[in-house]
Amino acid sequence: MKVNLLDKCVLHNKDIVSWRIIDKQVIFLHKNEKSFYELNEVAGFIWQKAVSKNSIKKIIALLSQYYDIDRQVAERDTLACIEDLLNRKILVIR
Amino acid sequence: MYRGFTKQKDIGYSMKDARFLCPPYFVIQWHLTERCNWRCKHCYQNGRKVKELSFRELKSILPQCLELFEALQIKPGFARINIGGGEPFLRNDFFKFLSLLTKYKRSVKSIIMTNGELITDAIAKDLKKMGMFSVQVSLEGLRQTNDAIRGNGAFDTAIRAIKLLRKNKVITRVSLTLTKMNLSEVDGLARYLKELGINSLGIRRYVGLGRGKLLKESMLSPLEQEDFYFKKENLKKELNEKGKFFFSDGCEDGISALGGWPSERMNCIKNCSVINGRHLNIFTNGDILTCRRFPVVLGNALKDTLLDVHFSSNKLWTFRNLNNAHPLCKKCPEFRFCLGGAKCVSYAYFRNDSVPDPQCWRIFKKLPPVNLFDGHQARQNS
Repeated sequence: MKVNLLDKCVLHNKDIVSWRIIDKQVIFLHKNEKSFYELNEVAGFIWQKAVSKNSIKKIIALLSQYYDIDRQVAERDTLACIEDLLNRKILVIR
Repeated sequence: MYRGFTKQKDIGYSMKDARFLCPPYFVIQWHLTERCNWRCKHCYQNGRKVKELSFRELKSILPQCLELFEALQIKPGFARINIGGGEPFLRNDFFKFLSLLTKYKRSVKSIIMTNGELITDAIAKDLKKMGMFSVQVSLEGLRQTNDAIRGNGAFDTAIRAIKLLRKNKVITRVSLTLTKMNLSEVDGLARYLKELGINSLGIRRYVGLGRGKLLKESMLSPLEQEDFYFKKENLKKELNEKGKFFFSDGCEDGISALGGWPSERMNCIKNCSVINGRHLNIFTNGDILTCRRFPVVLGNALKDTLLDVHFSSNKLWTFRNLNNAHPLCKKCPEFRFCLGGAKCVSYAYFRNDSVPDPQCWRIFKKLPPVNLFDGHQARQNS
């Protein structure tokens, strides 16, 4: 799964999600649930890089660089975030 | 570290702009028809025919209103659907629509805005029975002045309706659009209404849209507007002994917000609902507008949802962003209270929504030329 995902790009599922940055944080509206959600700082970073058409491999590199963290930690966090959002159908594979 | 994401309910927003996602109240103004049995001179209608939504379409849109209130976590009693037009009682299916609304009376308040002509004793009784509707009847002054603006016989018609509503114990209030024509009659009208048992008079600022453009010479100067606000406070104190009469503020009255007012007064002042993100308008054809008096089309309720428009419309976020206010406003010490005045008044007067309110006495001593800001780029409507 992880190996496959690394070369993929993801984007938000426009059918059920609208999003915007509010007060520097990513907030999305889940249109089916009629609820707003707030992503934490790291998830917000990953989200913004994802919707800018970066591959997951690239996002991991950017996260590692931006927060000056080990690549393995960046990969674990990025994949956890993206898999979670994919499972909830909030993100879809491009 | 990624720790999942948080549902809004669990956040308890402290973020500045996130207040738009949980405002203290929200008003949807819903225009059911543009047809009207009167031709008032100050009206924002422009006389064009607009296709009305069918009952089935109205019914399909109503859940959107409730979803919006729910998503924004508006507390019961603070979610409002104002029903207007045109004259809403002209729709044959109006009561069918009201019956639909009554299913939500625990959470939603509703005001019907009418000229009163079609109100009968039976209708007033039915409204009382439904138990959720208050009625706002429009009057523009005492008999002669009112009829000069609204048409011959309009005053007696409205008073008859008010008496029927009062007789049937329907909560009734009166609304007036302030111009030079009726400025001197506010005092007399308020006293007369109090005698009739009405305890609320809403005084709205003139917005020169549609047919109302013809009254532009009657628009109050900034100093007259300022003077009126102070006189209104005194009149309010006099009439409101024992809490029996009050002047309700409109969302155009943000310009009256001054740091020097006592806090109880400041708490009553509403800022522009577009800037504050507490209002949407459903127009007769289903278009979702920022406001009926600042009619920027944001979508259509037959294909877009009110909730998505409230959250996603870039136009709305531009209007909400105080950094987009005009420099003359931003440098004013009262800006943090007034938020730049009313978008509807600025737009109707200057045809530009990102310029100061023309009746702001802190900037203008008299009404400025309408082309004063022609070189200033409008943010949205250019």
